[in-house]
Amino acid sequence: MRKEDKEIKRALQQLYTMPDERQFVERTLQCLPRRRQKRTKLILGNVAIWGSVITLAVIFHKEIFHLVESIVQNVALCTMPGKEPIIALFICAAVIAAATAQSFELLDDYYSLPEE
Amino acid sequence: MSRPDEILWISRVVLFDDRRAFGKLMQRYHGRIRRYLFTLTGDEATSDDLAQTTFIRAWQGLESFKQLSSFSTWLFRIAYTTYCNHLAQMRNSVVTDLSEAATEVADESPPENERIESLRQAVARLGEGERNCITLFYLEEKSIGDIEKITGYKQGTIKSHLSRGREHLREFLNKKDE
Repeated sequence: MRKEDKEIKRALQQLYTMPDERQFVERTLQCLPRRRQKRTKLILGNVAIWGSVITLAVIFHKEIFHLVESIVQNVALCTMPGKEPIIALFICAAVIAAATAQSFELLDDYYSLPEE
Repeated sequence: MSRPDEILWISRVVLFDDRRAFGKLMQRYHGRIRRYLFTLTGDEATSDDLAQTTFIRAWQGLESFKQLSSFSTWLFRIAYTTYCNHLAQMRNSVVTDLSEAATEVADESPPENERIESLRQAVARLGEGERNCITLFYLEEKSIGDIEKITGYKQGTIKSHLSRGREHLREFLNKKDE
């Protein structure tokens, strides 16, 4: 940078010295609106995905049921050989229910607004 | 390019609406944005209002930031368009005479520093484009490419604004040397 340029820069810095406004950031943060557009998009996206999954499940429910039944029975037989298949089935269902509840809790956290 | 910690903060804002992360971005840039808007408006209260609008617009539109320029250049671009909108709104009601505004500020300040005073007058005499380019180039250390992105001026126009601005400020520098 040339000497003249440095002079101009230094002079401008002296001229435009802004007072430190500590409250500015806090004040602006309070004015920030909710980002609804993105939230709506996410919700619509999720509705679309879950809608497709449910539709497919309704159409192919028999096949899916037989598939799931055979998988669960095989898993139950492998992991809990001494137990009755029906008990193993209940345990698997409980595990799936717990996992689903946990995922809903996570989703709820995700959608809730950050606290200020 | 944006700094790595900025990219992290931006991602947090976009993905999780993280206000704290946005607060950190504001902490880093609010001084520069307020100063830039002050050079354009000549009024501290107005520049703070416009800076606030700038950050709110940035918050709302952060998803559209594609990392094509640095985050600061993107933010300065929003600040400049916010100022242009403000100017368009004011044009019909109050005449924003920047040189007058600058003189008013000068009148309020004590005449302790003649050097600053003469520079203030020299800057007030600059045209809007010249002042804008000079401020971004010298004060904010933006390249001509970045100034092009911020203001939308063509590179040739920016160079001529800078050259003319320098010429006008030379008067101040010469006075100072005498």
